[in-house]
Amino acid sequence: MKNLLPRRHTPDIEALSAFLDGGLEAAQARALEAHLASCDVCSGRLDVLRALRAALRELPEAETPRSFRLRRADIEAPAPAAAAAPGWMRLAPALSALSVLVFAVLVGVDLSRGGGSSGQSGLTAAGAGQDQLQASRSLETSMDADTSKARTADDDAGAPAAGGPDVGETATEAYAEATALAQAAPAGAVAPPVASEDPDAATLADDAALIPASQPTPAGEQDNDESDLLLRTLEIASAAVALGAAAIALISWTRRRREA
Amino acid sequence: MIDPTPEADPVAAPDGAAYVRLAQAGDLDAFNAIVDFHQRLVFNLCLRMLGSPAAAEDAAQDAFLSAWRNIRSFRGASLRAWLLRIAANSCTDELRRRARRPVGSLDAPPPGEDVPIEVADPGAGPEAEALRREQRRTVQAALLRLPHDQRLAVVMCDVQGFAYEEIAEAMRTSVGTVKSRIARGREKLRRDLLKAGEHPAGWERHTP
Repeated sequence: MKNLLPRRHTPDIEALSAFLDGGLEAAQARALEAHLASCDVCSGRLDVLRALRAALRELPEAETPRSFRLRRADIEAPAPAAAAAPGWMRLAPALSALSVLVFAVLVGVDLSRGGGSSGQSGLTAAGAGQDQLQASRSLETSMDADTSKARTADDDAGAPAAGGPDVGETATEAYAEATALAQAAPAGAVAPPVASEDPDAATLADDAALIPASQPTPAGEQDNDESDLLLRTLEIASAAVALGAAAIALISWTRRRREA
Repeated sequence: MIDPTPEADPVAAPDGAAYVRLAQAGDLDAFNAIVDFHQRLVFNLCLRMLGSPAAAEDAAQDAFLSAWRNIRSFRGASLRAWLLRIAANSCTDELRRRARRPVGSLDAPPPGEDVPIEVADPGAGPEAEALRREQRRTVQAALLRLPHDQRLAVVMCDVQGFAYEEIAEAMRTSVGTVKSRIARGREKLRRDLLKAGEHPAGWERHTP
């Protein structure tokens, strides 16, 4: 770019190319112009670039072979096979929300049963239920935040990627929370009430202790144990479905974003 | 050549944004008005990116379908740049689809071999015309050998005459990156055409 450069040198392709398009800043353009006046290599290369551009502009503009207007049938046609998976995936957020709801109901049932039943297992169930309810609430809140964030980011798809990492983080948090929840549930169920550090659960346990036991029969207790187990299993299952669906929703959302 | 002046852009035109808003509200007729306005540009971008009118037709149709499905997410300044970005993406998809098809399929002639029949220049003799057509074919074939990003940048800049800023918007990148893609694309074209023995006017005098 400087006049002092030897005559045989590698031309600055990028500067020459930008110069051809008028894309250099004024000072740069002046310096290059001065150099071109005395350098055959660079001025020759610029001529070649100019000829190349002319050859490219020679490529004729073709008529459209037909109109690309969309017809009603085009936009109502079912999505092609390749898009079938994302279409199915679009149900994932709803499924996830539904599972959270089911989980909450189950925990609610668990709580009310736990409050009414007697003995240590009942009290423990109440404590564990309380823990789970809180955890599920926070899970729900974070999932709500997740979906609303995703929606905002989706709306904003025209703008350069901004919300991506945030949403990923939220989802990871939700996942970590829910994983902790899934692990905590069985542990809480086994632990004696004294081990519970949750003040609410402790109060609940005290309250329950004041209520006289409702004369449990051995058979009834066995029934309770079995349905407790069933309830626990369903709770874990719904939490798992909620998590899985949330993960799928996140994947499909990322995919759509990339496409848009 | 396509007129890249802002007056030609319906978004910049007095009621252009109104069309977009209507289309975003689900008005297909308004969207089709946008299609009418931009289809030539979109089809030609696809044609130069793919080299085959049949492939370009498929890619352009896909691009408009995809634009309709995503019109609500359009927030940018230039609808044209947005449409061209979608068109470039659907060219990538079309290339992928064609790569999967068996070799020798009638639908997929060799790239650059089926450039559309052009109107002959009445001022030139048949020999000169044949030469020009041969040169265009060689240039188009060389374009198809460029990496996708460089090809897109060179087509938008040198074939369609867009400014760096609009190319950057369509490619979702910086002007600096566009500059360097164009420079590298041109350099590769130059070497390629030299190897092919192509000598456009003023070419051979300056090649080392």
